[in-house]
Amino acid sequence: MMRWLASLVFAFSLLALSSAGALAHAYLVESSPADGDLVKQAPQALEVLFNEPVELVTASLVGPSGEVSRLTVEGGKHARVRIAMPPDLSEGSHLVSYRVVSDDGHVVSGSVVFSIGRVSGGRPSVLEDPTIIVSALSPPLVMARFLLLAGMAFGVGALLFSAILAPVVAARGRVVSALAIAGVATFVSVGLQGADAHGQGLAALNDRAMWRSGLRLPQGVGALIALAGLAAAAVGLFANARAARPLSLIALALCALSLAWAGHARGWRPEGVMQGLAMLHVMSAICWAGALLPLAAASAREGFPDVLQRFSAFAAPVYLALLASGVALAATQFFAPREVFATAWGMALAAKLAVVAVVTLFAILNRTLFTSAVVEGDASALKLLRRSIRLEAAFALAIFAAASVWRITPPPTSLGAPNERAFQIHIHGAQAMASMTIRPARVGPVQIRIEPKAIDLSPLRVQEIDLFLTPDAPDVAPIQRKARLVSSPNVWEVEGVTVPAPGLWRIRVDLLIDDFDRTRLDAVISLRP
Amino acid sequence: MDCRPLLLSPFLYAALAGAGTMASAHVGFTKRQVPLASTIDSILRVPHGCNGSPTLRLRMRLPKAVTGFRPQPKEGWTITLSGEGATREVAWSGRLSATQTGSFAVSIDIDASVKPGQIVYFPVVQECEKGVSRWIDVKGRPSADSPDDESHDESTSPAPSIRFLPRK
Repeated sequence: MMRWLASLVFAFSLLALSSAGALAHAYLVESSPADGDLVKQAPQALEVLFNEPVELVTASLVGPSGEVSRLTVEGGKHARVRIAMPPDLSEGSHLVSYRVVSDDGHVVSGSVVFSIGRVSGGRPSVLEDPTIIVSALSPPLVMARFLLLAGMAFGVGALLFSAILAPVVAARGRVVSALAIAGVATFVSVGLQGADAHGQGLAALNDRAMWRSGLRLPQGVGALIALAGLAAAAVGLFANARAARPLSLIALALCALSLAWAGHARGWRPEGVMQGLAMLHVMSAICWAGALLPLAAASAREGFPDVLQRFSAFAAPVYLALLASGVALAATQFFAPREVFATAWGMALAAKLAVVAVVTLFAILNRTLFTSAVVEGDASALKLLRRSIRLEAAFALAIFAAASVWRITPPPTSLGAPNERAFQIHIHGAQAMASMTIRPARVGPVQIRIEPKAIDLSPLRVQEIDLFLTPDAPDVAPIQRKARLVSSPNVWEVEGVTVPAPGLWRIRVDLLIDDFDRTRLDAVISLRP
Repeated sequence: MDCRPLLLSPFLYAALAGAGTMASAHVGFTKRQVPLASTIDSILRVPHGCNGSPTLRLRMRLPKAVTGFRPQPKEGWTITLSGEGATREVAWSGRLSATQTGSFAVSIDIDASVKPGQIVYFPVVQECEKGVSRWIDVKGRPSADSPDDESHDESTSPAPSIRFLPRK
């Protein structure tokens, strides 16, 4: 009995000793090659020094082409752990991941990236080429933009025509519906925009938070300006002739401002000039396209030759302003040598230019052949002119359709040179989200920019950001880095990370929101070799 | 005294086997599960410093479920309570060598709304001479992409927690 008791006491004292004794968390002191090293020759082994003896349990190697291999592990407890490398290591970057057990049975894992001869660097990945950002809401966003452009042009433009060139009372119903369509499309796009920024689908339109987020975006402000412009147009439509003219001009200016406010020109330099050009472009587009249907309607009335002459005098400078501002805006995207037409933005531009070429041909035809004949009273010319004008209006719709696609295609200048092309993702979490840019979008050394945002998309201040990159293979420990705040309040960067291999990588971002609150965001990206 | 039986003693092996699991490398309470009571006593154990650096300060955020918190005085350590509402905080300031284990006894009043089965978290920031360790990760705060993500449970720095068992 005494013996049992004695052993019991002894056992408990051992237990007490062991909990008081060597319980330190094992941690890596140094490794050879060190994390991030570039070595000339393939090392025979990776040596990892810990603060205390540990036992290596598993180790694996991710090679430059993404292949994962298990490494053989020797038993025994050592502070300096030797992980033998396979004899035929290829050039490029390698990730060695290890898992060790410290004295207290606690498992510690980690990884070391080193490069042999050169740092891996892949071609820019085609998969992640962000020339088009397709999300669940892309089709409705493009559709809303199309209805907005068409409704604006045919509504506000028609009002301008009747207020300035010739009153077209009969077409009022059509103008009201055009304005209404533009208004509804503008309104809905606020919610779509918010939901899209959250990575949600159509169902999220039920959520008020999406609408609030949408209003915070530049497009939300643009939408409010557009609604004000459309309202001014609606009032102008029913006002007397004296009030209609200033109201139509206000509507025109507000509509142009709304599109320039949130459009691509926002980021183009020099910013003020480019936004001014964009406004000019939109205003002339509205004047030109909006005049077409009222003009066709006026052709059936008396005194049409008079109206036509006035329109002719007004249309030529407007159309030239439209072309010139369009050329100037597009030219900004061709400054640096890039394959502009290979991007989705460029393809939409090409489609638009093709239609513009045809429309210009029609405009020249109308002006040179039909206008003078109609003014002289040629009835068959009038019929042809009317048909030609309606066709021109249809082409205007096609141009709006091409321009609407730009809603989801970043312009080439925002993409950077092909080698430096960035890869952007938004990671959503329950408490926060983050926009991440990985530049360049390929295997090799990359710079990672992280912008934490609150759920309502406002910038989120955090204390620290930890980034974990793990190849999508079992038992491989992450590459772990701390981000650095580069610009207040919420732009962080991680530099000098080498993504050693292509394939799927799990990204984890830990945001330290305050001293005691950490939130975690997860995503998976795919990098091609 | 004959030592043989002692070495063969099942108690010894049980204790040794248990040592591995009981001696966690995380900062945490010695009693992780306690029967629900209006006041509980426990000990916060700090097994080591921050990667070999001695601990100078421990800060604990008090959860809503705690209505009163009375730390036991500890020689060489000053204890301060600060903040109110959601930012109540206890801080122990002193010095603990990186290779020693520290024990911080506390008496905690539990809110009547706490139910058996509930887990209450006490996030702790361990400030060391060099570096900081944050024992603040909480279960049940999954990311949007993987709502059932188990990896939270494998956090390398979980917040100390107490799970309440049915009342005795």
